[in-house]
Amino acid sequence: MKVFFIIPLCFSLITNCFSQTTIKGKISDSKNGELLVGATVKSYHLNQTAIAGLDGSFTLKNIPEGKQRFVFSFIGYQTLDTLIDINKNSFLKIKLKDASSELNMVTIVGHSDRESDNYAKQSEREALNVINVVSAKTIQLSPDITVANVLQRVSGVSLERSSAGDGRYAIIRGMDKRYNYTLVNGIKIPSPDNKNRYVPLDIFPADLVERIEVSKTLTADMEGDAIGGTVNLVMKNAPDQLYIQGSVSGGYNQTLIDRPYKQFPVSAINKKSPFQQFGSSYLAQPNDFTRENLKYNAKEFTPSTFANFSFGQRFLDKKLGLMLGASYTNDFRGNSSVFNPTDGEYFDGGTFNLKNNNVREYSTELTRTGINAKLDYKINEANTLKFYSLYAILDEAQTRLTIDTVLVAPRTTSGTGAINYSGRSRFQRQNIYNATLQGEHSLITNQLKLTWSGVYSTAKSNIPDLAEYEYDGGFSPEPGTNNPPSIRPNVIQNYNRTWIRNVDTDLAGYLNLSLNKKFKAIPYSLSVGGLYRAKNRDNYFDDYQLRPVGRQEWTGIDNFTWSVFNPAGSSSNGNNYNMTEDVSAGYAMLKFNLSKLETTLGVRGENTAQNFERNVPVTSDAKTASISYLDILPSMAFKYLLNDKTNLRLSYFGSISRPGYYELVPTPPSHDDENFDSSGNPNLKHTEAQNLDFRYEYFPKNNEQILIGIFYKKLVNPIEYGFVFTGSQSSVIYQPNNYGDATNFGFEFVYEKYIRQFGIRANYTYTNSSITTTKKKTDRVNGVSETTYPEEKRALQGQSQNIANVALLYKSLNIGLDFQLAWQFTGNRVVLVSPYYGFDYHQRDLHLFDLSAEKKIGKKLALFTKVRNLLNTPYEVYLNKLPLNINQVPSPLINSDKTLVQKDSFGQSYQLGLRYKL
Amino acid sequence: MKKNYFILAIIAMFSVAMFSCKKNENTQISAPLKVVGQSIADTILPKKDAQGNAIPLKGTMLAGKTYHIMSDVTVNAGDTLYLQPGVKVLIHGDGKSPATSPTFYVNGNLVSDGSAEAPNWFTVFATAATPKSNPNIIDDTANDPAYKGYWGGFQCGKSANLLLLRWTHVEYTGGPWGNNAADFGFAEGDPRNAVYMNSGDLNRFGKLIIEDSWFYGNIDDCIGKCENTYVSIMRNTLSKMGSTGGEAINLKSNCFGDMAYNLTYGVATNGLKIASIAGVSTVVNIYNNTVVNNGFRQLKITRNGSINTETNAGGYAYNNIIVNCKSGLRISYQSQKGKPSDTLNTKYGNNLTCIGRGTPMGGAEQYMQFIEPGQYTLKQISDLNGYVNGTIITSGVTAGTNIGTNTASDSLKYDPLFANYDVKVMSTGRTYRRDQIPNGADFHLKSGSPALGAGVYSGGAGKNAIPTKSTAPLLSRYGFPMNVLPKGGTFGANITPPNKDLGAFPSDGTGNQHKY
Repeated sequence: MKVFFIIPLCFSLITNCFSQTTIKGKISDSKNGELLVGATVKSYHLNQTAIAGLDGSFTLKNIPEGKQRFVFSFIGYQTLDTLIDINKNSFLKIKLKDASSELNMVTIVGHSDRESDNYAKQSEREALNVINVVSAKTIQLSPDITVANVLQRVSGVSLERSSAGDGRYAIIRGMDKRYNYTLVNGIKIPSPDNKNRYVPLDIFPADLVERIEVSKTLTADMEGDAIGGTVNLVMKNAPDQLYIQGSVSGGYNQTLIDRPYKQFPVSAINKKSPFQQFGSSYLAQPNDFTRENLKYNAKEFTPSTFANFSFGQRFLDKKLGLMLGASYTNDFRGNSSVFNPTDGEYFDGGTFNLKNNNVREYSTELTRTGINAKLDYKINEANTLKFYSLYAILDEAQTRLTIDTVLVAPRTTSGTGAINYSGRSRFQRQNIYNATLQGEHSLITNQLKLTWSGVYSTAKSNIPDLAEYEYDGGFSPEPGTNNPPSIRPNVIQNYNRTWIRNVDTDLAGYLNLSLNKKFKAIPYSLSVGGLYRAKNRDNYFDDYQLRPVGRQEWTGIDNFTWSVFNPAGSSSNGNNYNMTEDVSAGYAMLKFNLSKLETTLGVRGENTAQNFERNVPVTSDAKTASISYLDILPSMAFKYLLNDKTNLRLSYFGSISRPGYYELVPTPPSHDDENFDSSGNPNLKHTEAQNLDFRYEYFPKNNEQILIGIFYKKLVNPIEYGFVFTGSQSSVIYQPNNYGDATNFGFEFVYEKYIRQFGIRANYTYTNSSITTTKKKTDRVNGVSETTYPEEKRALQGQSQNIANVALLYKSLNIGLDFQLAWQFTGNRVVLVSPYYGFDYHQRDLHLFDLSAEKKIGKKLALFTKVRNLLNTPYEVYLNKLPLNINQVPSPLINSDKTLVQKDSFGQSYQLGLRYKL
Repeated sequence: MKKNYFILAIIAMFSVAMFSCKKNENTQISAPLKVVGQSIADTILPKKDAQGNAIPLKGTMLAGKTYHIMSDVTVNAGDTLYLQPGVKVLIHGDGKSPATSPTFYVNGNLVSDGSAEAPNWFTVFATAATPKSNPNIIDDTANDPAYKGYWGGFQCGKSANLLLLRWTHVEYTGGPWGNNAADFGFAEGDPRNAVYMNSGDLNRFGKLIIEDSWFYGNIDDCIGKCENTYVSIMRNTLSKMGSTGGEAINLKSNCFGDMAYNLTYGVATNGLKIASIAGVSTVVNIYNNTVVNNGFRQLKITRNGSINTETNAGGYAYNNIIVNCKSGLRISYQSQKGKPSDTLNTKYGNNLTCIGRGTPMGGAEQYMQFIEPGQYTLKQISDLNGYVNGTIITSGVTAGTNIGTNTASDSLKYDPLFANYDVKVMSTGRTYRRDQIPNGADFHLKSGSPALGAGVYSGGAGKNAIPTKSTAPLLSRYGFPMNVLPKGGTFGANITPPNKDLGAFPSDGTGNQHKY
């Protein structure tokens, strides 16, 4: 039986009767009050149709007063066909019932459209802790390809980019990526990244994600190693009815319109090093190294391709749900970079010479494939089993061509000096596999619930034959003559060939038990649980030095001879290591409601045991190490319902951040790092933090919100990257370190408002962080160079004081057009910590503009376009000093009182495609 | 007539007197043969323990014996390995991997006490696969076995106290660093220096005494990258140094001492270089060296090629002869790697620089110049070279530098007139790139040489007076020559003071005693 539920509220302010009038109204879900954006209203009079806008409202004009017939409909809801008595200025509040609620035999908890914005807001409101949720609809509408791009639109979230310009890691409330973790369906997944603990977000196509939950506070049932926050990617769930969605699109990068893509044959790369091919006793010969991988062809037409497909259905009386998703991206990028390192150039009196001006041209081809399967089986009312599996591959082939002008002698002015030319071919394959089996068992109906998860994951990264050649030439004045500068011959330099691989394997088990009862009419829930995770990492590194045989001049990669300087390779060095980490944790959490106050109290214990062994002789330092520690992490959260639209929240939690595996292993410098030689540090301590949050939440309407929050964090031993001295000369190495304790406080503000077809989403976070560390300073005192160690105060690395996002939305349902313009702002921040006083690198304010639009064609098809980085905003890093050799430095590198250290320009990216949804 | 006889008599008397003056007693008293600790009877070393680990070496290697080194040798902290005069050490290595490039790790003391009559040897055990070089290979880095780096040299770690090489041949060094490279501040696969010393502690100095020794064939820096070390490096010959880069002697931060009377011949980059770091000083006196054919194999064009000071390094640089090098003495203002020298604690002069070919050599060939313009180096009044100083900049960051002119037509004008090494002949074609010292070459000075009597020396006056610089605190503190090391005896340094002649081979027969 169909139930029609109508509450026509008529506000007849003026009693004067007109024959025709304009009516307004709003359509929402009968159960949870979600506004149904896109629901249609059909008036039989004149056959008019209206569609509910972003705020769920609609307007119909020229409706005669009196009883009129209307049909309200929306996908997934029961159609309402009814007569309504129309007065002047009628305002209709229409509530539609969910179609599935009647059809289903089994009630599925939370079966409303979880991909919707409303559901997302609802989650934010009801959550125990401070979270932000981005829904699939927002994702679909935004100009984002990867999850990472989406995330940067959440309040207080900024991103760290890869060299291809993609956001890779979330920085929550300005806290560096290391202070945040990423979950997939609530499960931690290892990272294929050699240097980072957590999954690079650009490996996940945005289309496979149902929603993204960003938590900024922790409760005891969550893993404790996040200080900034956590990101949970909830993958698409099996829907109640057949679900098919797909899209195909093509794109182009502006840089590659301006210049051709430089391609090297990936197939020519030796996947295995001579050591791996021929064994440990083999001595590599010059011919074991290919030259083909260092040949670059200009490719004129390089369109990008994006495709995704998802399918969902329920079988066996809807007991078995299946959701499949697949996504494929083949993306060609071009970007250019200017890199002028100043580290190590420090000199007495806080001065420096700018010595190298590297102008780099990158061509990057990203191929991203993701397959995602989610199965759930409802054995009976009380027992559900779920299986989730993810397989993702990210291939990155990158050409880097560098022209490095040496800015010191013999250079005098522009047009003179030494120039170093180099070309690098880098191919990296990263993959992640995860299989999670989960069970939910209601042991005592509505009282005692048991959930468990068994997880197996692997994450791999393989960089075979990383190779870069170099030849040096340039122009120099001829001594003793007045001749113009003459061309120096291009002399071939030494170079390296490196094979790097790491494999992580995780096995984990989670168990949670929760009891819901009442104590003297006070409802409470008590939960206890724990987890155990065993991780194993293997790191393989093999490096060969090739040297030109005598002095040879460059006439092409084929035309010179090299010798293998270390024919046995370096597979025995400290970059080859095995590391394990066992984490065991347990918690207890109590939640109870005292009228309008909801209280959550909890305590969590996490024990960490880490071991590594390096392939170095027993006579070397730190061949093996074992590190263990126990953390007890209390947490409290209070939520007070001021009224049904307003929440107040207060929370406290203790949390930690563990160093990455690589970061603990004192590996010798490898050549993989983009700009610096880096190494781990076994004496690194894990970070401990105390976090305090207060938040005011106001939901004026269902999909609108105003949130204001303040937070304070005290960090003991935060981990930051900086240069440290190796002990030989002034050579420095880029290394993680504990520089002292830090404080971090700030506030955030979120605002969402919709008026008919227009909407605005804005958020802003202010963070003030500070840490005081000891720096090295040298000066000439009485004719002798002397060293002092003054203290320097600065913000935490990676921490912007100001982060803001604003998105303007337009949605016309009548013509099926969606439009969004987004602005993302990341304020000035310290990106790199120098060991020298006043030599930190600062990233300049960064404004990014993205644009997206979608136009419906018929009922199931949509045409969409996305333009990223509309204004081609470069990423710029400065040193707040001027070089001594300012006369030798090209003027664009000087900006009043600063020196440009790095500038990356990515160009606009265009995407145009078709989407199909059943 | 009588007067004539009288004069003749006086002449005769004088000549007899002079003759008798020259003929002092030639007394040879035998010194006791020293034995430190136990003598080492085994000649195949190092021995292995039951687990197969090499047993560290200590005690005395015996005169007349030939020892075979099969793998890495370690001298433990506090231990001493002493070589009597006339010990031959043959290293079995091929330089292809760290495992097949045996190395001496010195954590205590190693004293190779060779003598002029009975020098010691550290050289490769030559086989068909690991041949030695020969005097006919004069400019062929690609094929010359001298640059194969068959073994790993002497690596003096944090606890090393003393490395003393006296009348010792060290040949074919430079094999690659292995998996312990990081412990010494190097990267795996890097070529090793023949001699490296670094205590890693600004307040604790290792002692490095190298005298009257020969270094032949090395891949990169030979006596290289030493830090926190007191040095006395005197009267040595270093040739075929650095295949495509590298210095004969390259001292880094916190080093103090003297480098004198060395002949560096055929070096890729500089013969002698010192460079410190910001906030730390290095003061090394560089005097009476003869530097020939340096600087032409370096792949990087910004490097100097003879004698170079950079980054807070200073000292007295006097009495050197530089012939056919890429460039003369450089007191650096800036370079690709270096930062400004410690010009306050630097004083230099009385150096001779000769360019065999003043005409620019374009294309693949390299230029030679007396002084690289744009640096701090000036031609001093006492210098012999063809540089014309530019205007000395007096303000701004480049204060003290000058851009002068190298007079191209001055080629061979400052020929030091070596006794048996015709600079004119040795400048033709590509002979300036030669790295093998010709048989019979003699770098003593012929009469008429401008280098005769041109030096500063104790007792000299005017431009020959030992220089002082009262404004320079470090020069005043350390002196010229220095007193940082114990002097004389088996474990001390034998220091030769500056000579009135320039170069390593002064006419009074002191200085470098080597014959070629």
